[in-house]
Amino acid sequence: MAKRPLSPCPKESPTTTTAKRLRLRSSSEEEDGGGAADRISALPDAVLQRILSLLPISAAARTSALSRRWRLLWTAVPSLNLHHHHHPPAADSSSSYHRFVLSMLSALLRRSSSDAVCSLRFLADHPHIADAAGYSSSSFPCCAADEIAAFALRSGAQELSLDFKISSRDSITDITECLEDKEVGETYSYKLLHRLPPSLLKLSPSLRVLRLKDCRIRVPSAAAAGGGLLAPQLETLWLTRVYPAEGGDGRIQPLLDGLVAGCPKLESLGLEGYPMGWQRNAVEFVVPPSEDLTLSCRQLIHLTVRCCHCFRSVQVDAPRLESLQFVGEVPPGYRFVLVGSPGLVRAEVVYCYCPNRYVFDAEERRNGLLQKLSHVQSLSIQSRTPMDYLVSRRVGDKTPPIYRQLRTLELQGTFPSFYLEDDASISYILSFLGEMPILEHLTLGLSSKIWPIDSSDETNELFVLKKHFWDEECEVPELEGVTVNCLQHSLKTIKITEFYEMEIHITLVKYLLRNAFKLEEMWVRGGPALYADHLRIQQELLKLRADSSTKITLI
Amino acid sequence: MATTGASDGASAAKKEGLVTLMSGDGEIFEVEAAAVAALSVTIRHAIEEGFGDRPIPLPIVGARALALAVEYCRKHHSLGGGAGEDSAAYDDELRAFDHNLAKVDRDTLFDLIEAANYLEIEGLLNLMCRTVAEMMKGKSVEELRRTFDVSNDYTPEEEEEVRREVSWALD
Repeated sequence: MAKRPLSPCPKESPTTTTAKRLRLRSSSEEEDGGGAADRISALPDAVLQRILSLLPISAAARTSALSRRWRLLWTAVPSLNLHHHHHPPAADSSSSYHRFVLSMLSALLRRSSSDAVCSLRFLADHPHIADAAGYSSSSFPCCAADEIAAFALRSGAQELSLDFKISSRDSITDITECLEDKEVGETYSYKLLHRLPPSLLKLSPSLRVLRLKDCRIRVPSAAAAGGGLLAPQLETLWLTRVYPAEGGDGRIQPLLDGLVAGCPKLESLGLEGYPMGWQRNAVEFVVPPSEDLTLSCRQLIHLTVRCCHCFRSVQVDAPRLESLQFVGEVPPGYRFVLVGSPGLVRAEVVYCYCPNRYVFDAEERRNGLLQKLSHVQSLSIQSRTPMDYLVSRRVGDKTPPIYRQLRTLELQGTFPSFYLEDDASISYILSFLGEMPILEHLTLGLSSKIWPIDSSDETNELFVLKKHFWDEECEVPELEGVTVNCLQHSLKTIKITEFYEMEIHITLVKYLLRNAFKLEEMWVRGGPALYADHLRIQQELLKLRADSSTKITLI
Repeated sequence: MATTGASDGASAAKKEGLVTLMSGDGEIFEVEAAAVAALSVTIRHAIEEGFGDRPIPLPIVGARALALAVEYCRKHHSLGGGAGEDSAAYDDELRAFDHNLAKVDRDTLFDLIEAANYLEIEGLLNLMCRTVAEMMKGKSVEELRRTFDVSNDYTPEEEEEVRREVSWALD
């Protein structure tokens, strides 16, 4: 008997050795004297269904014509990827669509009731986008989605994603068959948006996750009045550009109130993509109002508010909130107010940057949101310039927030600032760290002042000067009366990303390595221009802390 | 089974941290228990059930596929399971390894799927299923039959009926 040593796989690559493998399969050799064996059909049902669930619905359905073995396989995949598209507006498109719906429904019906649809995703493409004037929302294939979704809900679907986006890449990145689609710009208007039938929302006894994208809805009136529940089990609700159906006053508030009232177990809510002035496209609404949104939800734990620029203010009253993601304008675009969420643990703040509306003297308002977050344990701030949260420290008439419980801090897109001198940048960031007495983990996303960097340009000032900086004695400007306690007592890990060998980057790394006494590990990820200099930089870094147990890794 | 081979395997398995696997065609592999147990549910259960010092029989897994599966476990255990999850270099190396593994010929591909399914190596099974799905995308029924040598057992009448059912998916 052959006995193999510890390394059963020879050094050769798999492709070069597998020809021999053919001879080892005795079972398949004996089958049908003719062509090669039908290996794929011999795989277990569960494996074939796993493969089919990775295909768009049309490609999965096509396999039923292969052989008897395949006839019903595709109808029982655990997760259906209902994406059906590129049907030309031919005369028979309605009947082709009709067959599609019937086929889908009968496929779903064949399942036993215990084998419920657990996940359903529908991305609908509008076929007549070029002919927008003649478009009606009842045309193919949006109502197919309605029918199928309604059926899925009746049969116990727990998760439902309905995406009525007019073909555009950002919403279809996970469906590879769409890659050949032509790019269609964001030319749709409110009128083109699919109107979701209200009945769909009433029929959701088992639904736990609902994601709606690019449609108009009206919340059933019973639920809006607080009488009936829409989805008694719903835990996660994500609304992306979901607008109120015509007939109301065009405000988002009643829509949201109705949904929240109808979903007593709602724990996770996402609101996304309400651009400024969307109502202008909706002739149904006479007055384009500037809305103040109040979100009040007692059981809510996770909240995401992303790019909701159409509101004048957003006020959140969610006493059990634990995590918050806010993506929005730097004030004074609109106000975001947390009324009181004492249990907030994690917060992520991403400041969009609108060049036209950027106002320099808005520190106080800019700081308003961060002050509300002073009790979190984990904070992530992403911004084009550290001025969004640093400069206000020196304005001084208000007490800056002190993050007494903060253990993890991530600052992205920060260094250096276009608006600050390098010295000032460093002292501001150190005084920011001074407000976090027990910080343990710090991630700093640096940036390069000249962007994008042309790495091939050797005359670029940054690269000519870099070696010189490593040997310079670093000078950190005086920190007026600030003690950075976390450096001395608690900071254990530092991750630095987008490290270019700019003077300010080197100075910062040097300062941190020399002053963070409890540091256990530091990762530095260089910008792409520095790959060639990997070894040299690693050596420079190690030199800075040669006699210490700190682990320094350059990625 | 040759008794000498089995006893050799048994004594070798007493070495620290090794486990002995026997492929369906009788080849013996000695591999690091930690690596395979971390990725293969089947082998983990076998070890837990006391197969520690006897060869674990894997009747439907051929030697070639087993060697590749073991290599997959080693690679993913040492690179993915270690301290490296924050590291871009490790990610790249694993991605390159997976990418290379997915380039095997069709027979090995199915051997590997069967092996991964039997050994319950989730990541490997996923990788290989994705590979097959990629091969199926954009192909007509005829092209699928040719690519995978699927034997058609429909009568012409049956096939016509099925094609009518899914005509929306056939163009």
